[in-house]
Amino acid sequence: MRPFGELEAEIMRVMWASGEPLNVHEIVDALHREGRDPAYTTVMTVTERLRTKGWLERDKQGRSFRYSPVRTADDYSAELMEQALESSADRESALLRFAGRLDASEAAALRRALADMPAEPSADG
Amino acid sequence: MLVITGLLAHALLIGGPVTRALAGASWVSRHPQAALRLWHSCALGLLASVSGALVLAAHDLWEHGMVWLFHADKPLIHAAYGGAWQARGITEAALLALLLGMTGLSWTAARRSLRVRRARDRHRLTADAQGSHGRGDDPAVRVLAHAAPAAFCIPGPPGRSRIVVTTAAQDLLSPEELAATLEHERAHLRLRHHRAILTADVLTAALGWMGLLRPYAHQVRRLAEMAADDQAARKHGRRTVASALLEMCTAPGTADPAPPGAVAMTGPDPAERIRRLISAPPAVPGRLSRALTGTAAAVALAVPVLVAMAPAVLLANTAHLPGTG
Repeated sequence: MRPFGELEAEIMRVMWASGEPLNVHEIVDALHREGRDPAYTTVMTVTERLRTKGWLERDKQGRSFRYSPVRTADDYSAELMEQALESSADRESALLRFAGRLDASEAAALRRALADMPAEPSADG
Repeated sequence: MLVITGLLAHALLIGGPVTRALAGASWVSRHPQAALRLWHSCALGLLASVSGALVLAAHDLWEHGMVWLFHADKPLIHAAYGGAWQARGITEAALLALLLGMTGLSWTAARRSLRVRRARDRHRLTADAQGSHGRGDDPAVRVLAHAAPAAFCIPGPPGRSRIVVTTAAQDLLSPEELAATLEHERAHLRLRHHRAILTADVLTAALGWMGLLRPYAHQVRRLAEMAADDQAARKHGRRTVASALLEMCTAPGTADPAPPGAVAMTGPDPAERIRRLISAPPAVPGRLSRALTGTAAAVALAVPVLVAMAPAVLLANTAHLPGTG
């Protein structure tokens, strides 16, 4: 069984790909076109959960609710990458980053030192 | 009085000179994970001393507890712990300070972890919805299309942690360097460094205003990076990790340069990590050093407990002595 989180991500992908608000039926259809086969009620539950989390908003049209994303995909990835690249001065980052920044002269010195580094006997010694 | 003084002295000693020395020590870069544990014990020991001192100042509660626990004579216990210095109101004030401190600490911890968890949920969903699975067989890896090279992990409950690399990072690094980078992130998750950082942040926020434990939060970040570097180096070699790090830190497209002096505030110094990978001999997890740091950690934790308990232990079973009841 796929974890619930996968379906959340897939529904968001469908919502962002679609230019207009979708009702649950249309979301299920779109997921079917992607080769997925989730139950209608599951999609309804997860979609509602995305709404309570603040990712989707809904609007009553006729007899059914139509959902649309609150923010664009770019908004979210911009926030993520801002933290990932440390361009925001946020000390309480939720991420653990691999790299930071080096100034040019220091980088050049390190590059030379790395080139002079003796070969290692074995990585897993 | 003596006991309270002892506890406060322990707290000041740990919060000041001991942690300053630990922050400046050179051996920590050889044994980052052990040093990390030592930092946590120091922080816990300090917390125990401060709250112990407050409890003792509000010592009615403590004396009753000791009389009950060790079946000791009440007047003798009182003589051991109390003193003529006790003015009216100190007991209540200390108890109040203790309660406020505990509440404040729990509140800070709860608020921060909630905020961080929300941010991580958002990041995870973003990575899942917009990223593609990595080429390797690690189901946690996501590749995000972005022009700046970056690699990071989004910690989460089991099965929900993610390691994210950008397409630019994938293009920049050789396959071995990329594998080492991913291994570094996996090590963060495996060693639960995100929890260490959260703990350090909360305690630094709670105690830092007193001037105690100032370097804690920064040192935990620094040592966590070194420990993860070591784990990656063990698998992929120190040179590979060093060159991956160097590539990532100097690639064009990474964020705007930090204003001078900001590096120490925002994160560990990558130059130090690279230098260390190049020059340090492969870390042998020595039994002696592990025993030493283990002992130091135990001492930092045990001192407050021992100091607080000692008088009562010495008076154990005095309650049934003839002539005292």
